[in-house]
Amino acid sequence: MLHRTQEVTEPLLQIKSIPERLGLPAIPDSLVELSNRSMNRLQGSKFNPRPVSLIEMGVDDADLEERLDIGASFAASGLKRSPISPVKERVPIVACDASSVKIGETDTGMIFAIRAVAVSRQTGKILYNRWGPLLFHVPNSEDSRQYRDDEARAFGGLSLKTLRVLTRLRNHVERWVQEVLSETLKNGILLIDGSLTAGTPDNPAARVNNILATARSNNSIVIGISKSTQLTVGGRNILGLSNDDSVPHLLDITPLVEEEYPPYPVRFLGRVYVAKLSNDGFLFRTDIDRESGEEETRLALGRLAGTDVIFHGYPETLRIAHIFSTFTANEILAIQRFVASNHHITLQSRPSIRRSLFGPFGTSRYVA
Amino acid sequence: MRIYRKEGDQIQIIAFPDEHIQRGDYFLIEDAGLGKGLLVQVIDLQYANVPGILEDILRDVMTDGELAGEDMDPLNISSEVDALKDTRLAVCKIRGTITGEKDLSPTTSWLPSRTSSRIRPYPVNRLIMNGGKLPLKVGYNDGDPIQIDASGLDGGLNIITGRKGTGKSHLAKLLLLSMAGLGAPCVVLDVNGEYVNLHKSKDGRLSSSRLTVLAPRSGINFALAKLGLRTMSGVLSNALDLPATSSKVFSTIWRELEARGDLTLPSLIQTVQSWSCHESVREALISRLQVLSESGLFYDETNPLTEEKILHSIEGGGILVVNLKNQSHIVRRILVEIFLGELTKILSSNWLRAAFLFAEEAHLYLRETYWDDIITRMRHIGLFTTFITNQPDTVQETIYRQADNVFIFNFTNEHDLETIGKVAKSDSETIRSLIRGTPARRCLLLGNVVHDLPLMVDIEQLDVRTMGETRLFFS
Repeated sequence: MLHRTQEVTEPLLQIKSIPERLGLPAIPDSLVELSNRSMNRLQGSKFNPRPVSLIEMGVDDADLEERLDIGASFAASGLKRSPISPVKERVPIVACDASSVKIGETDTGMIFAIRAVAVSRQTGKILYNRWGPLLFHVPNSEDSRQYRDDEARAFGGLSLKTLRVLTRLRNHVERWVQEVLSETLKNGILLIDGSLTAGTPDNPAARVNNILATARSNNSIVIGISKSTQLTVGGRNILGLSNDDSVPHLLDITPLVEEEYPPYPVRFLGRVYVAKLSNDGFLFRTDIDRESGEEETRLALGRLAGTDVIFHGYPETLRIAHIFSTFTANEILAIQRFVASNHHITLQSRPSIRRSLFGPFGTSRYVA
Repeated sequence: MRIYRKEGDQIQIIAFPDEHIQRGDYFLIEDAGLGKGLLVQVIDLQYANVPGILEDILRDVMTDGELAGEDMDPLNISSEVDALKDTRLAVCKIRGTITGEKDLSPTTSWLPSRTSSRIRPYPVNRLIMNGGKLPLKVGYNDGDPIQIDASGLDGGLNIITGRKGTGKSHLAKLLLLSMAGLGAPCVVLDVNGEYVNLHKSKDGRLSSSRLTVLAPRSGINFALAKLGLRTMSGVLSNALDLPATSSKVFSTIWRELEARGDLTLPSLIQTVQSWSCHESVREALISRLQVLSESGLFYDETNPLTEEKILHSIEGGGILVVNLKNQSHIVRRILVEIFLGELTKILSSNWLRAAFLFAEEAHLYLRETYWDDIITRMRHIGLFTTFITNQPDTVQETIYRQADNVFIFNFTNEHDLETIGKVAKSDSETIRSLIRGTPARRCLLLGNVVHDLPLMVDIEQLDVRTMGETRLFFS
């Protein structure tokens, strides 16, 4: 059941017609093979499943947004604010997201599940493609020798030595989906979850550049929308910069970002905006391909606001992608059952030290 | 299957979709470490309603409408999620402890290990027959044949109840034929003429069952002299509500005529008309005797139905059907009063050790005071009654409390469920849970015949004409 905030003008029959498939490729064999190999090493070992609160809804062990402070010397005043006018010109909108979640621990490492989703809004229908979940047993650093180099190369030379491998794995899967979508989407808008900041070992800039270039060549535009950001100006979160205006608008903070940060190693591959896409919406950090012109950017956001349902200022296509990729508590339980029954491992619940020491105090997941 | 939790006399078990479990099933929770097991019965099945399931279902609902797509799930984990959604919570009642193979004790003061116990289906039929010498096949439980020991019906008070059309009469017929086959004398008070063809198979062949069908003007013909003063006084007082004063006058007249050797209904009426008594007494007596005269039960007093004939028809395993179909309320009451009087005489004289009476919709012909008579006096002289009714509230509460065996078919009405919940042989929660939604011909057996282990049974088919000569329009 979807929350509707805009008028649907298509005839009912068209909306209810059975949609065709998105026709996107399957998960790359290399990824499936790596998953299988990592999991097959588990046979006979012990497995301590992650405790799951069934009252907890979606579970996603996502990374924190990058923490960037632009500094106190730059005043927020004087930033250029442009209105966004929803354009009733319908364009294909595709959104993607990926989630990872810890399933449990073994004696030698941890098991994670990763899933990616692409959602496409076309005239009168929404199609989705979901890849996964794929399971990975990521060994603790001392066990990493058992992984062969070719397996590591499957992830562009990723090293499977630390738990940061998980971030890399998820980024890899997410970028792969973005690549697929940038290649298939023509004359449309590709929404991704997060920013267009790259240049860290976990998030190579070349790959993001390639995605942007491919989309551009297909006359499409990539827009990254962050649900939360640690980007601050003078210690103040950018999302608090401007929300006193009720009309949809755009605040370009790229000059502040560019002046504050050196171009290397972290690279801002898009122009950074604070955008409000609907009258009743929240502000979101919005990154748009740097190669797009100012007019093109405004037009793209106008088309997005005019085509997609904007739910509290957030595009519904991206919202569905997020919902569909996030793991529910029951899915985690189901995966734990799958692991136990298919990999012949013994379930073993380790006592929670925190719970043993503090009882009901200090056991909250919000306590660091 | 795993133990989830215990509350009072209930244990909740988690069962995955691939594990066969249904309401009424018995399971043994074996604790190998303690060398014993807890016998439990599933009384209700629910979904394992964990709060997180709501989100999964909401996601599914989202894809039902304009949202559609494809899952590329190489490990087929979605099937595990589906299994989790369909995981069931079985609410079970603890029935006792089993040590060894078959030793059931009512002890429930221990708990099996939640982690190491093994839960397996338990074939409870091995406890039910348990060395019984008179096997009586009643049907099937989950495909397994179920036999009860017929001696469990002996000396007891039984109730067969359920909604119309659910199989009460069918079970009564099965019990009748089986009991008669085992040599038990049986009498049926047949309100709807349903039992008159019990000796015929569906294709019309006669079976080996000894069946005698009696009806007014068709075998039922009483003689006052044979019935005796006690029975006739009972008929006038209980069936025809003759006041006590008039009853005394009747006794005096009776003795006078008996002394003269002229004890017939016409002479009785004639004598009352000329007898010196108050006019109101005369009117009371004449009106009742006229009813008897018009009942068709005394049309030829030279060739009456005697105790000997009744005895002959049921002795050694015969069924006597008293067909009350199409008879008025008064005639039914008279007939039942006479037959119960005759049976009492037969049993009191020790001509028979015992007899089994099957009474359909007894409230239609049984006076109030007989309910107590049946569960006290008549039971002690060897008349063992089975009440069959689709209106459980017409049977007195004392009957439910003292019933030795109860056979319950489907009920949905709350009031009916509340009434039968008063059965002393089980708790009302078990009855309510197991009875609701049971299909036709499936019966809950309670009491001695199942050693107080409530058992759901699909009643055996019968190759007999189970319906009477019902006149149908669309046939």
